[in-house]
Amino acid sequence: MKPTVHNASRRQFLQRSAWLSTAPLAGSLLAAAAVSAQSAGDYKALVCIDLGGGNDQSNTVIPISNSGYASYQQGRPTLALPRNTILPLNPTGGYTGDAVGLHPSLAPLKPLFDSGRMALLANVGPLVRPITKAELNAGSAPLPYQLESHSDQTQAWQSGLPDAPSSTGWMGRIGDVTASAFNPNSRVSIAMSIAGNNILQAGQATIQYQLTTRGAVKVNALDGLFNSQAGGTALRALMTGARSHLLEGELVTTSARSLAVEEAVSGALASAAGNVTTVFPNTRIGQQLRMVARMISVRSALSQRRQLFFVNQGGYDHHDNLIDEDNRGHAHLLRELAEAMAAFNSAMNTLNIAQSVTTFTTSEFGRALQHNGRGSDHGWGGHHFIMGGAVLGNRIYGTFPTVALGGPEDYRQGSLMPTTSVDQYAATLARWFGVSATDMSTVLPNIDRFPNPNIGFLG
Amino acid sequence: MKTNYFAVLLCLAFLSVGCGGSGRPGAAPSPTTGTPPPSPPPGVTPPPAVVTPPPVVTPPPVVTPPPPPAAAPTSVEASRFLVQSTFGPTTAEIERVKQIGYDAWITEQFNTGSMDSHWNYVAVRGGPIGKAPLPVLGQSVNDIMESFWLQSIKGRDQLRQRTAFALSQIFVISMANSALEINGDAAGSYYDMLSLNAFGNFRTLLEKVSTHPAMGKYLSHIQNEKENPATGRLPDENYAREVMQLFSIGLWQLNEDGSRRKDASGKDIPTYDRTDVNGMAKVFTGWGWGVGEKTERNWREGFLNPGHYNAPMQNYPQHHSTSEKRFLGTVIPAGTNGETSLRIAMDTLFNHPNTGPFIGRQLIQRLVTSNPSPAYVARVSRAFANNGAGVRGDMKAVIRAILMDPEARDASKVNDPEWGKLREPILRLSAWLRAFDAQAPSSGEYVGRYTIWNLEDPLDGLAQNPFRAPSVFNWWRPGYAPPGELLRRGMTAPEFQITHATTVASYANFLASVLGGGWGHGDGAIGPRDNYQAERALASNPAALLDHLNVLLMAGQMSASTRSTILPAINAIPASNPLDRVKTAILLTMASPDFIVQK
Repeated sequence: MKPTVHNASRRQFLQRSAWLSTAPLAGSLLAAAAVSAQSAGDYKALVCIDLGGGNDQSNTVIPISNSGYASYQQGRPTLALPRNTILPLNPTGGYTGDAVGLHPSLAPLKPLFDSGRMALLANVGPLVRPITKAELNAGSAPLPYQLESHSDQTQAWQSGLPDAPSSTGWMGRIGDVTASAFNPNSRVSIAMSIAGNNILQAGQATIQYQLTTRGAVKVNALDGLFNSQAGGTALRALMTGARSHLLEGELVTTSARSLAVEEAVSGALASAAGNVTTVFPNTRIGQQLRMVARMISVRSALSQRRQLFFVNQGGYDHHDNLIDEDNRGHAHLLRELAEAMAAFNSAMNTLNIAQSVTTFTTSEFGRALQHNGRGSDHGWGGHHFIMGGAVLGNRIYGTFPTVALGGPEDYRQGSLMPTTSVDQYAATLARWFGVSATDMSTVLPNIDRFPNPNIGFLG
Repeated sequence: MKTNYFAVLLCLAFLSVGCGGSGRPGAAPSPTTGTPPPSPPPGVTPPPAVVTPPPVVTPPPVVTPPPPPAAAPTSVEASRFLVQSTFGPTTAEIERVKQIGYDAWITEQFNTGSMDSHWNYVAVRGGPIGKAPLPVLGQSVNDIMESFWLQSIKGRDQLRQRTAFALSQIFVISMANSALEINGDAAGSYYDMLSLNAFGNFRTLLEKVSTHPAMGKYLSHIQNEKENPATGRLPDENYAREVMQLFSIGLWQLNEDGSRRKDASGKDIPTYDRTDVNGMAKVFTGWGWGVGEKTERNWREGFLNPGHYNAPMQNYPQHHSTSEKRFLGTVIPAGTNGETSLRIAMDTLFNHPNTGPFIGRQLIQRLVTSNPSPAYVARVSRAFANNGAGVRGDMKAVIRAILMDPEARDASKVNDPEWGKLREPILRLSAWLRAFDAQAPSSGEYVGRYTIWNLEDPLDGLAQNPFRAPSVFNWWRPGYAPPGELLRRGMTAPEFQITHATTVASYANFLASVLGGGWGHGDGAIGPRDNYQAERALASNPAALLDHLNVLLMAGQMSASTRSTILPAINAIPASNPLDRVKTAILLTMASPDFIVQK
């Protein structure tokens, strides 16, 4: 896109940024004004689905060639899925890797893959810079802080800075460089979470807005408290009045933000557009994605031409139960995920907005190939899905690894040394969303360490 | 386990606190710091659940200098102390602290037993002492909530209860989306264990946690098989990793004051690496259900034996790895059995220089303040290292050091804009329940039951429910800070991890429900004794009413602006309606930032 500075939005942006004068990113934030506002129909959204706990990539996308399946099965004899249950993929685009298929629970997604609405990014994970197996073996490869720790690898994925402290995440920084240009008149943050606080959407200026699966939460007592209007007035004053104590100040800042936008959000969601007719599964992930669909549907009322969403599905830490069929098992979680994503795709079609909404998965790490009898342990690289009308789908991006103990990407017990970095994954999404080349280093400070900032899965 | 990352894990840069010790941690666990009392070997059939914890016989430790011989605490000072050390001040407890002073009160609490055991409530009786179980099966999930609230707000052993609650947020198990989803009995037995060991030795506590079947189930090390080279099977690493990362030493080497140690190039130093996890994982093989003989049947199906969740796991030798185990500089020779391996592993973690500052700082955060000074952490670390009588890990010494620290007792800290902590939602509710002597129904189906079953409604819930943290990472990480001013200043504010646009609003709605009609299930709603009799007596004098609430609920920390905001709202209600005046005053007090942030 060709940048043209929008004066009004630039003014507003500079005002909003004034308090940032000492922040390290302030300089590059100013470059955000270079992001252009586009025509009225211009709209895009990114939807992050985080698979909390570390999804087992080995049982999500599985080699099905004779030799590939054999080494997979040899790596995890007690965990290997029966070969005849795996859903074979037929990727185009010159894919030269091993033949692979999907976990049977992902059946609702297979038609999306086959029809080009979904792509797979193989073996992606946090990297400090590109590394080789030889460097790993020699102990000379720089590694992300605390590999295999849930909390630290969540931080690494979401901050995009695996070997440095960071108080912001890359989606928040995307918001920093796009919100004022695209959403100059919106009272609602560009970054919205239906899954609680997260680092991914924390920016320098961008403050994530929280929704429940039932929308914004209205404080009913503001209208009156125990038969007294004065009580409601006092409540509002207490929740929003300035405070000198820092923790109290943070609390009232949060409350004031909540009260300030609740009416706008609730009003929009209560409108006809807020009533998305697509039926979503009555699961946590299903209902979160339903709320995302509703917020997309009311984007005009919210004056938002760019939206960034975060949802989460937990429970993927399959040290055990990996092959169990109960409601904690991998099969159950993947089924819930696939059904929710398929419903979301349908909703986007119904809203005629599919070309403008890209959904993608993350997870703090993949898992080891080697088994402990009942499950697998913490790993590193994993496979991820990208879904939407703009996706160049039915393809596998990155390099599908050799699924074998002792294979070329084996970091430890068959966990994967990533061959594509989170930076590259994120940069491809950010570029499509409208982040300019000059802003990319603000969003992803390490991107220049990697050869290709555009993996190509988005047109 | 099944960590449910439903609330995203944010470990912003400062997550775990510092590091400490000398060289490679654990390389030579120093015996010079005294030996903790030996733990009973696992595998011993536990005694029947006890209703009253045995009094701990050791005399009060003397690590902290006695409080200055100042005047007895004032009501405000006593209330502030009780906000830190109990589930909430009451008029009676304030008077008790004023009467005997902080130090004697702590000693008195050390010697006070629990009113009941959660296991007995949930698994034996299915209800409060002397009351019939509900005529419905499968109530254990509700029973444990009732039992938690009963003991937390009515127990005379308030310091023990509050400490157990703090410990439950370090040694986390959860019924939320876990293998314990319907096991209120497991949670009850586990919480009993925390209560019974809250004032014991940390070494014992760590082993009790590690061998409790609820933890075994939650972090999946129950029935964990030894390695099998023929099939490539490795031990499950789940517990091995988390017992180091979360329950003892943390990720980074720490100094005594909680700051991170640095290597020669100024970098943080990890406490362990993946090979340590491999070695530690072997220790946690072969642990299985603790009721009955160590037969193959009991290994597989010991959960069929009654009481299986109330007996420590025992080691089934045929499933325990006897190959060499190396971790943290410790080498357990090949051929060592499960009990001995566990003892060595526990000793290694216990004696690691990180353990005092890592656990001590978190306990300070749970009880007193989110941002203790390094000197405060160091003083608590020293109490952990030596109780004054040469004993390491004496929890009484640690708790006393935390509460009697000059920083904790310094009244001027109330004016420090960085001091204090966000009161977590459960403690806001408990403050109300205790201050107004909330009562369970005296008749009917729910007689004697604190039916506070569900606090999770997103529109008017608390976003926090006992025994239901989203993952082993608790509701928040100790190093969390919300993006913004606090983060820029390098402060931590863990409870803000569940504080955001929707939860600040749902809390206000929650207050309206609680003050409107109490809280609880149907006819079982919990309400104040005598409908706020003491407060109604003050309703004709709103200033006096606020003075009373200020001391009782918020340790005298109500700001002038809060007071001047609430007063007109009370006065706007006719004096002929004292109950609405009282409810308005309480709700607005509890909605004020000065209440929500304890100083």
